[in-house]
Amino acid sequence: MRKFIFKFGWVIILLVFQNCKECPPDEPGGGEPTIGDLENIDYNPTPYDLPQLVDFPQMLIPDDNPITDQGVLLGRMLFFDPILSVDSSMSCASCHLAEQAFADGQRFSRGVEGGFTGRSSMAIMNVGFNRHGLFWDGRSATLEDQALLPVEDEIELHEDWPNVIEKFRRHPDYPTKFREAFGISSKSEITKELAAKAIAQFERTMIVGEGSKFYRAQILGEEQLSDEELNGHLMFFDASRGFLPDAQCFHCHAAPLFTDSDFRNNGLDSVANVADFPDLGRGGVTNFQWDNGKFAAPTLWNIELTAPYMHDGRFQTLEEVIEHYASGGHWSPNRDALMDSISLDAEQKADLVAFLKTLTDTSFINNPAFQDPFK
Amino acid sequence: MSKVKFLIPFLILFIFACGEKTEPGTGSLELNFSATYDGQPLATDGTMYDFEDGVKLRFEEIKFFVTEIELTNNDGATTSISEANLINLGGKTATTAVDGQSINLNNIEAGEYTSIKFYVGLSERLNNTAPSDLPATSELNDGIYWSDWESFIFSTIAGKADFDLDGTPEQGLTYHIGGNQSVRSKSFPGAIFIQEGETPKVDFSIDLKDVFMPNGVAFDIETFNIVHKNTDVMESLADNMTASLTRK
Ligand code: HEC
Ligand code: HEC
Repeated sequence: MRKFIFKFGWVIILLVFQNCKECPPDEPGGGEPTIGDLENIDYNPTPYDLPQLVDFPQMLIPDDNPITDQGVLLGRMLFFDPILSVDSSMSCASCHLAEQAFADGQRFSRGVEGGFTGRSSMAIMNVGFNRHGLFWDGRSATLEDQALLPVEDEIELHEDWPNVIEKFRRHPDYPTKFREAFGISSKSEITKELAAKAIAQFERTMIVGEGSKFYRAQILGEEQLSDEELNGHLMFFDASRGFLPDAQCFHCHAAPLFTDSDFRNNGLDSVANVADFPDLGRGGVTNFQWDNGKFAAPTLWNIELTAPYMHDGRFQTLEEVIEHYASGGHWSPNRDALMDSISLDAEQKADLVAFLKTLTDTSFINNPAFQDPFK
Repeated sequence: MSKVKFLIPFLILFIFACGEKTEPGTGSLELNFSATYDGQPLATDGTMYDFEDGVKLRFEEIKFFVTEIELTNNDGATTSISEANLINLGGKTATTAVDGQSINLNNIEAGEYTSIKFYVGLSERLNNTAPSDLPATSELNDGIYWSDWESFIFSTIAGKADFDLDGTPEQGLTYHIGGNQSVRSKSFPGAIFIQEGETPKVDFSIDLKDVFMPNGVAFDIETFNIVHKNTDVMESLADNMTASLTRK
């Protein structure tokens, strides 16, 4: 008797184990054969060879989403495919353009039905290294979470995922691509989570820096910065030992990623009370009032190409940005302690801009691997 | 019915197997850090605190690394329990400041320990590791490395001071401490029993008034309001922080 129960117990355990796995999603209508309909297609994912730049940190890649050539290709297709929008008119790439380092050159981006986004589009570069959350306010913890949002965002693509999944299942190519990337055995296993994983894989490959003068000169030591660029460098990193003003930029835009793990107020808006910020930024996520008006310090790689600047695109040029920092910005109770006026003469301002331009990496924006695969 | 009852332990076992793996003969430990000012929970939400001569201070950022945490037993033998943890005491109101920040360490060999020791800042060994050589999972990646210093930032304290006593703090204060000369280690005596299935808690507290006014002598914040290069000042702040960090 004992023995019987013992055996029976294992059956139960196996049953429970089965339950641990994801339930197969609802099958699409139309009575098509769906079970195992992709099994005759090869599933041989090959690991993607992610470049490791000198001095760069190692990227944290989720265990359940290793980067493969097949996943990256699928992600790239999805990123550029208007199939993700309600009327097939827009894709991720409509607001994230290669020539603008995957920002879009607009203060606010026009979505699929003509409405405008509340903030300026962000460049997609080195996002795989992000550890503080995505978006200006860090509200998405991972690229996988982030990639789910634009499709159903009412302003952005205003589609819904069940529809998109239907379109994938009917598509001549996507079922095969999902099979090759994730080993699914039937169309019915295509999910939004897999689509988001593929997009995230593609985004992790978008590493910027290698083709820049800064990288060649200051990281590899193969080239010299010009005098102007070098002066800008010394001010940016507060490294002149007293003969140039300290611009303190590096505290919030630390090399080699030129960003920071924190959210800060860099003095864009003048408010008497932290409750009065027009855009709550980080505070809208944490509900901690002192975080109101704080935003992520974005990367400065390719900053020459990503105008207009700041979360609301208020500055058209880098010169305006430098004027802003020189003035110390507007006062608000939680303006960052580092924001104070800096006395910079015209030449020094120009030198800072010259330095910022050493972060331009056109090999990134022209990289064939990041272009529209449908063209 | 009795058959079904018999199965329950199996199911429970299975559910536990799904969760975090703890090795037999080991236990866990929770370390909690919180900040105070003159003994009161320290809020980083704009609250002003009395400094000297009517000057008031406000704190906005308090972060520091604790590294190479180890336990010592009666025989003086040590057990490493964690490599690097970033303690961030910002984002607090007077009410939430009491909660501080906890780190949970698992798989610690069961036993009776007599003290806990760690570095405030990065041990030389860790600080000499290039960031590109760190495993992606290392918590050091949440910090910032300054190549000019060849060092991580060990700790950051930022806030503002109201020197002109008009009620509005006008002077930004930013202290970034780093460099091998600024690391300090400290041992905190007191029994800690690690046993399977238990998670004892050890509480630490850092008092910011003691950091900026040790023994009633005020640190010259007016002269030294942005510090990240002056090694003497960094070292004295590192000393003060370590001295002000106590085990409750
Ligand atoms: C209508 C324009 C628009 C479309 C379409 C769009 N985005 Fe964005 N994207 C934005 C804006 C605006 C932001 C910043 C929003 C914010 O911070 O609140 C952003 C931010 C991001 C970020 C954060 C980058 C960072 O550094 O934190 C990522 C990643 C991103 N988008 C990826 C995508 C993907 C993937 C798609 C397609 C599934 C997509 N976007 C579609 C406008 C758009
Ligand atoms: C206190 C931290 C801090 C300091 C110091 C700082 N920045 Fe920023 N920077 C930020 C934050 C935060 C943002 C985003 C603000 C927003 O949009 O609300 C930003 C945005 C920018 C942008 C626009 C980026 C984009 O993609 O739109 C540029 C360019 C820039 N900073 C350059 C500099 C330069 C040059 C310096 C030194 C003169 C500097 N920063 C100093 C925090 C800082």
